[in-house]
Formats: sequence, C-alpha cells, structure tokens
Amino acid sequence: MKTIEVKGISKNFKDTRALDNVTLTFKENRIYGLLGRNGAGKSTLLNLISNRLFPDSGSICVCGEPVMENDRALSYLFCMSDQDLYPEGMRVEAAFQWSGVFYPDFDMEYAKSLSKKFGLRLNKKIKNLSTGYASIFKLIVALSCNVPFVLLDEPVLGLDANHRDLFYRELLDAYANNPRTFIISTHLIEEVAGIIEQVVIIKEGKVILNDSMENVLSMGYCITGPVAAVDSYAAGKKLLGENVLGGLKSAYFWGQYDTDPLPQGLERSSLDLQKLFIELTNA
Amino acid sequence: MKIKSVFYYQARLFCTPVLVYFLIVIGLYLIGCIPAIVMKDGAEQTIQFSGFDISGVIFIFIMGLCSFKPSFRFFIGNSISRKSQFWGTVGSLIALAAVMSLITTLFSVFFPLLTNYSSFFYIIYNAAYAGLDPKMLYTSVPFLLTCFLWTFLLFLAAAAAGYFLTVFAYRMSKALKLFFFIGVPVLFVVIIPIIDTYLTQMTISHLLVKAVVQSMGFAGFPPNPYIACITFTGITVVFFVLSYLCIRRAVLKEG
Repeated sequence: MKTIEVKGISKNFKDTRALDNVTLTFKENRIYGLLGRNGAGKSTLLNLISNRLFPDSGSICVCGEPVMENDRALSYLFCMSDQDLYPEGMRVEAAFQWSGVFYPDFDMEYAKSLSKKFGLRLNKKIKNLSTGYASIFKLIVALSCNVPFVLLDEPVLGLDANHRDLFYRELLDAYANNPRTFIISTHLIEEVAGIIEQVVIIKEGKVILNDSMENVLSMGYCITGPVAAVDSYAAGKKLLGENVLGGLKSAYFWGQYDTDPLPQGLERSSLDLQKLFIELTNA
Repeated sequence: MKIKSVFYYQARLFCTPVLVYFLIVIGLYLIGCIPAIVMKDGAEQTIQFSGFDISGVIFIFIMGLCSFKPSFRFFIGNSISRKSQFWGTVGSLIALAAVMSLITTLFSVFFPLLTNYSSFFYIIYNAAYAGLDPKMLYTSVPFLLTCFLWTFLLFLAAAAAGYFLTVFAYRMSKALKLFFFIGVPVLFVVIIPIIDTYLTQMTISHLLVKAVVQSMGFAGFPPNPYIACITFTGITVVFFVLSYLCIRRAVLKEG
C-alpha cells in the first residue's frame, strides 16, 4: 500500500516551534484537506514531506522508503507551493517539457489541454505570469505529473471564482480517471469541503484532528436557544465555543449527539466544516 | 538517482553562453586577422594574438558561479535529491571544462595559421619546449595532449571554485556573507600585506611565491606542467568536497 508516514516530526525555526512531534499517515488514493490557521505548520509539514526542509527529529517515509535525499521516494510525490521555483526566462511550454524529463509519467497532452481550458499561453515566460496564472501553471504541472502523491499548498492563490471552480472540477476528474492522493492545504475551507475525504487539522504545530470528513461532520453540532437552557444543556459536554446574541445563545459541541429529545426551546443544527474548524482552532 | 536529468539540464544551460563566448573569441581573432589578410606575406608575424585562454578561466569560473542557485530551486521543486543535483552538476562542469579545453587546444592548432599565436600554456611553459619551433609544436600530438590536459584541469579547478563559492554563499546568513565577502579581500589585500611588510619582513610573500612556483611545476628546470596538473586536481577535489558538504543540508529559502 502506498502511504506517506510521518513519525514524530518536530521542526523549529529559531525560537518558534513550527511542528511538535507530529505523527500521521496519508493513505493512498484519497483527497486530504490539510487545514490550519496561519503559521500552524501546514507548509512546513509539506516542505518536510517533500524534503525541501530537514526535520529536527522524526522520520518521513514515502511508500516505505525514507524520503530524505532519496530520489526514488521523492519521485512518488510532487509538491506545488506558492514559491516561485522556476528559472527566470523559462517559458511555460519549456517548463512542461522539463517536467517530462524529471517525471517520466508527465502527460504533456493533458497539460496542453488544461492550459487551453484555463487560457494559459504556452509561449509566455513564467515570471511574467500574473499571480493567478502562476498558480494555474503550477496546478497544471501538479495534475499532469501522474505521481502517487500530489501536495498542493494554497493551490488556488489568486485564482478567480471561475478558475477555482474549473480547478476543483478538473481535480475530481483527474482523481476519478487516475486515482492518487491529493493533500490540499488551503484556507478556503468552504470550497474544498465538497471534495475532501479526509480532514487533518493542525494547530500550533500539533495535529488536533485526523479523521474522515463524514466522521468529522457527525462529531460537531450546534445547540441554539435561551441562554439558561443552553448552559444547562452544556453541562458535562465538550464545548467548542459559544455566541450570544440578545437573549439567544448558540453553543458548539464536539462529540456524538445523544438521541434523547431536546429540552423545550432548544434547537439542534449540524456544523459545517468551516464553522467546526473555527471553533476547534479558536478553542 | 536522477543524475542524468540534472546533467542534461545543466549541460543545456551551458550551451548558449559557451557558443556566444567562442563566437566572440573567433570574432576577435578574425578582426585581428584583417591586417594579415590585407598585408599579405609575413604580416602574421607582426600580429600577436594570445591570452584568451585566461578569459576562458574567468568564463568557466562564472559558469560555476551561475550553476547553483536557480538550478537548485528548480530541481528541489521537481523532487530531485541534493545528491543527484551535486553529481549531475559536477558531471556537467567536467563536460563543460572538457569541451572548452578541447576547443581552446584546437585553436592552438589553427590560430597560428594567420597570426603569431601563443597559447597561455605555451607562454608559461615554453622553457620546457626550448629549441622547438612553436609552429611545429602546435601540430605535435604529445604537446597538444599535455596542453589539453593542463587546460582542462585548470578550467575544472576554476569551475569548481565558482561552484563552491556560490553554494557556500547560499548556506551563509546575510551577516556572514557580508563579513566573508568583505573580510576575505580585506584580509588578503590590506591586512596580510601590512603584517608582511611591518612584522614578518616579507616572509609570507616569499612563502606564497614559493608555494605558487612549486605547485605550478617551476621548481626545477625545465618546468614540469604535470605538477600543475596535480595541483589543479587537488584544488578541484577540495572545492567539490566542500561544495558537497554545503549542499547536502541546503534547504529551500524564501525568494
């Protein structure tokens, strides 16, 4: 089974602890949402997996092989980041050709067809691309590489709504035609909620949640009603957060919802991923 | 290992600058030959054309300097290990040095046809070939082989030095970089000469000259270019080993 195994990874930048003893496994053929607030450690984790950085402690294996300075393990993954890693003066088409040299399964025809769909001109220099088109260019490379693990760090940075929609559709299409693992790190939680299967939430360098989307959504719920009634309901339950508006209070809970009828005046609603994320990372 | 891909990429990068460089050299040579062509017989004896091999050393040093940072970012972005990057780049620099020294040596054969040409190798080791007609020398296979070997190793040492400097600079912090690139020249141009003049009574200068004379094969008579070949090889190995030590833990930096 093809997996990325992260074991006890820690990483410090001077006196900032970016990742603290992180252990998790990315399984094959799934779409992961890697979520966290700014500075939570998402990009650091992706940079460590792709061996762009070295961990202070712990190990990372891709398909059973240590990733550190290992071309074979590294060839199983492609990491798209917001950094500009292409040489000045290189044109889009030349970059596709070089991707074909470095990734033997790179699908040039597919890359060209995606470029056409997104309106990316092949003869344009990469450094002259707008932020949105630079992201599109990198996304096209990522989707065309045909590697078992595709790491996408802020993939839709600068993309307009139409291009974001097109990207999500193309990603699902690529996933259906050639299943592989996508790890998407993003702040646009509402947008990716519909496509991710597994949620990983990082807070202050620690993984606080790693579960299927289905389980995660079933574990969070909201109770709304008069302040006193909600407070009484909340006793003994794991409270994530609360809002008070006038005499009404909304409380967000984490845990299995009990099936007993609710006390008079209280209403239950489910939490969407974004609300759950906000409450989990605020707490 | 993706050494072949790295080699291919780096070699492709070198193609255009090398082509431009040699076109400029040939262009300068042809411009210099115009009087010989116009003045007819004997004019080639009055036209001196030499020393462009030194520009080759500077050129390949700059190629070494340019062969790390942009490529490193590109290779890291394409999931290529630092080890493969290093060996692929070393291979490409060896190939570059070989091609450049081959062309430079071939110029030694053709340039004397129209001008009074002396290669840099001949200028400094002519005592080793005393009594031989320089024009005959440039068609002598043993001489050309020695010239090629010496030029190749000199070029390779220059490329290795350039490569090391750029990798070393990449690993340094901004403050250390400033300290190093100002401090080292100041040390050699100001501090050591002052110490040597006022404290050590020129002992350091004499030792340096002696080291250069011995390492370049001028200690005995006739001079021995093969000693210089050994020195260049040593310099190359040292710079490549230091470069490897720097690159093996290099991380991707912002910007």
